[in-house]
Amino acid sequence: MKLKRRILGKRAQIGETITWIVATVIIILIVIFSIFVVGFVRKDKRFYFSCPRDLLVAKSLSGFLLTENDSEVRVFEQIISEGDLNEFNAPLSVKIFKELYKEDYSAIDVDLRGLQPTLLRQNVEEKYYPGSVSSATTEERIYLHKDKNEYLGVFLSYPTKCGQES
Amino acid sequence: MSKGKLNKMNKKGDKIISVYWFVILFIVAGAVAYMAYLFYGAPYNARVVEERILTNQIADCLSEGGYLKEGILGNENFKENFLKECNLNFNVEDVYGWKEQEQYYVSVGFYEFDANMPDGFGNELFNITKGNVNLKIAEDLKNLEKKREVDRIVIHYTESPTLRSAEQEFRSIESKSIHYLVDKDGRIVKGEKDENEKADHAGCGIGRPDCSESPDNCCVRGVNERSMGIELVNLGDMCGDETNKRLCNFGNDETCKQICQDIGNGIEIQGQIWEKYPDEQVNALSDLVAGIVLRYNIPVDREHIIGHDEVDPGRKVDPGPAFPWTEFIEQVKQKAKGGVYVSPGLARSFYVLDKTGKQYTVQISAIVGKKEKNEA
Repeated sequence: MKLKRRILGKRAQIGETITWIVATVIIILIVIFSIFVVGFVRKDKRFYFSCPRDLLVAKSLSGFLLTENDSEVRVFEQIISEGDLNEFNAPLSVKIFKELYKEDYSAIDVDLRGLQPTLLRQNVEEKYYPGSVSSATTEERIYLHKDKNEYLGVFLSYPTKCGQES
Repeated sequence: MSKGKLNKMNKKGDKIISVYWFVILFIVAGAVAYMAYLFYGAPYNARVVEERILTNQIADCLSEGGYLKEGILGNENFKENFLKECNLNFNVEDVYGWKEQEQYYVSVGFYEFDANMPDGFGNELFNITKGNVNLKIAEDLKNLEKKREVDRIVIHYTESPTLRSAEQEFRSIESKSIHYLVDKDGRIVKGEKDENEKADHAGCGIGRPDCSESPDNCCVRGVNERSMGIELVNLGDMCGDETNKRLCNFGNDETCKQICQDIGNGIEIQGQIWEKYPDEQVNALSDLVAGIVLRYNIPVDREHIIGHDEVDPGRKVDPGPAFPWTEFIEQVKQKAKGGVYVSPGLARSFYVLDKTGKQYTVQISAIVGKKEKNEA
């Protein structure tokens, strides 16, 4: 009986020891893996920052609105009087925003919004900017006042990029 | 087994378990501390942020309210003092020898806006370049596979008065090609050959023996295969041939000499007038060469950095006696101490008008450097 108990006790010890050895190996493996992961992550430590707007796009928008056609009428004046982009300024805006920034933004959209429903996007604009930027967007807004009570907003939308790329 | 013996064994087991736990705890705590050190000890990569800030700062300096500020386009004074005019100060810190070697590269190009051209870029009107050109070259070459061994750098002169005329000449002669052209103001232009391609810049005339076989009237063969060719915009002997004499408004040799000296860029050496190499040009060349010697592990000495005249003595004289070899090699040595630079780089553009309503596209390239290896 005594012998049997001793044998059983030893067997129990063997089982316990194996458990501890396996636990030790697992702990060491986890530690090594964690160090490896940290070593990998540290190589590419970057700042993550929010970038509410793109200064260069904003500057281009100002330049675009100030451009004159052959009759020396500036784009913002054309938009105020016509309520939409026209055959002169729509292709120009495409050249500036869709082509100049095609490396930076997958999509870019110019649209006009106003207090009056009639001033919302119309045919010419849809021809050049079909659809809209669907992902999280940044907007450049410039409000053009028609008169005291009525304004027209030029909205330039593009995907927010800064925080992701950094 | 007696009860006392069993108790003793249990206590011994408890001790072993305690020691084991202590060791495990020590390992885990040590690993956590090591990981914290690894992670927090590594520097942040702030270059993309810095490049964006730099680009915005330059854009703000150049334009306001949709218009290009006055007195910028074509203004050599603004170009000269660009950093000061735009309140850019790169000397505020001195990590990794920042002060000793510029770790930034800024290039601003002003183009006519041309709606018929891709991206609206028309003719280039004005260009401002500051900083270490190797940052730009390292950026361009980042993914370039080295396909050949290079152990020589050969310096030439173009024998033409301007960068444009030199480029035209290279385009028109099919058998001649180079890797880089350096203008008098320090602007570096990439030649038609990539660094990993052989350029035909230091070949030998037909029938000329190899210098290893006969020392008389010989030429060192096979230099093109293992060298980089760099051309400096320089006339060389300013009164030497009809083309150059024409630049001095013809006349006899004496008249030509007098005119060249009066212009102020001619220097008389052994009875001939040689065009001086401006400091900006030599400085840019040493930047460029320092990058090449680091990329290809070339020793900085006169055996490996040579003139065309040393490849083909007797037939060629460039870069000529006006080239300041001693100062140039010293500059390369100093600059090559630094290491190779890499940077993700940033080139962005905006559309702008001048007060007359003329349209422009302005492109800003900003690179903030980082030493990657050979950190001195």
